[in-house]
Amino acid sequence: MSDLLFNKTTKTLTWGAEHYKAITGGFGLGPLPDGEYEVKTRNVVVGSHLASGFENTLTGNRWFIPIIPRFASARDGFGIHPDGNVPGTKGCIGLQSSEAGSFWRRWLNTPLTARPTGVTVKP
Amino acid sequence: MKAFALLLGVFTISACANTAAPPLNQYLYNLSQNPKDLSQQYQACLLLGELSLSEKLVAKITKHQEKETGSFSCNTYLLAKQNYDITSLNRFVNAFPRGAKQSSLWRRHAESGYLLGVLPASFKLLSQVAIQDNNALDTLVSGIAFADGGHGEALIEVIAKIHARMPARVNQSFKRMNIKSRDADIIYNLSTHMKGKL
Repeated sequence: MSDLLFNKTTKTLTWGAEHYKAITGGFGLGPLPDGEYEVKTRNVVVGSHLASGFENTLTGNRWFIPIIPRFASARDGFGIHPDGNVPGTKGCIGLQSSEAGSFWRRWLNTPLTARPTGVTVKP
Repeated sequence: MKAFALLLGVFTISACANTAAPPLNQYLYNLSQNPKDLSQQYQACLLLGELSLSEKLVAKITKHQEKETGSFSCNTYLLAKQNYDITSLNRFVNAFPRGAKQSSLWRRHAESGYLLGVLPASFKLLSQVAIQDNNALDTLVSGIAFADGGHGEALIEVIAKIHARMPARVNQSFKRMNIKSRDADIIYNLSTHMKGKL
């Protein structure tokens, strides 16, 4: 199992040898703070009832993988999801639609116990 | 013959189990009143809201709610969801926390594993009422600056949906609730984006 690494400068989410283009921030209280996060692999939310901000506009899939800070923070509600509708997020990691499909395919093809349980966010 | 005896046994046990166990809505209500922790209480309440409750149970909830002092509670939510009448809905909207105080609702929802979606069921109900009720709309709008991350994205979506159909009403609410232009702009952009898809 390998954890995720999100580099805010290069706007890249890395999972093992694979890299996915992603952004954070643009709205609200700003980008995801640097640090270590736990990936809530058992609390993933999927379905058309989700907001359009969580939609992969190429496939129509909507999903949200919650992540919670492993450090004290006044902020919350973070997750990894496709960056749907207007570009930008309120602090989540938003995967570009062109990359969200391959990330999600890999996520689905990875057994629950082998999915990443952590994400490191670097400046 | 052995199979018949086994089937008979299963039916007998099931029948016993059914008579011994309380109905699901009663079971969940008991759980919501005597939970192991706050997450269990929240989950039981949320699931109850999705069920059609018996008249007996609604009467019980009403009695309990009357003893509460106007604070936002599971009973307030359940009665609004079940009765969907002006009295229950007004009580629900008036008790619903505003602004930064909504953070605890979002936190509880996240800690409970985002049961039934990213947007908590109570916010979903509030947004339905907000379509015709300015007090509910103001309460919904009051949380814009405080809902963070995916919570914020879920909240602005429901407000933008109302704005796409009733821009004047939402703009007036923004004025009443002193929403900063930066936060309002996000709604305008999203609303415009949605109008293109209406």
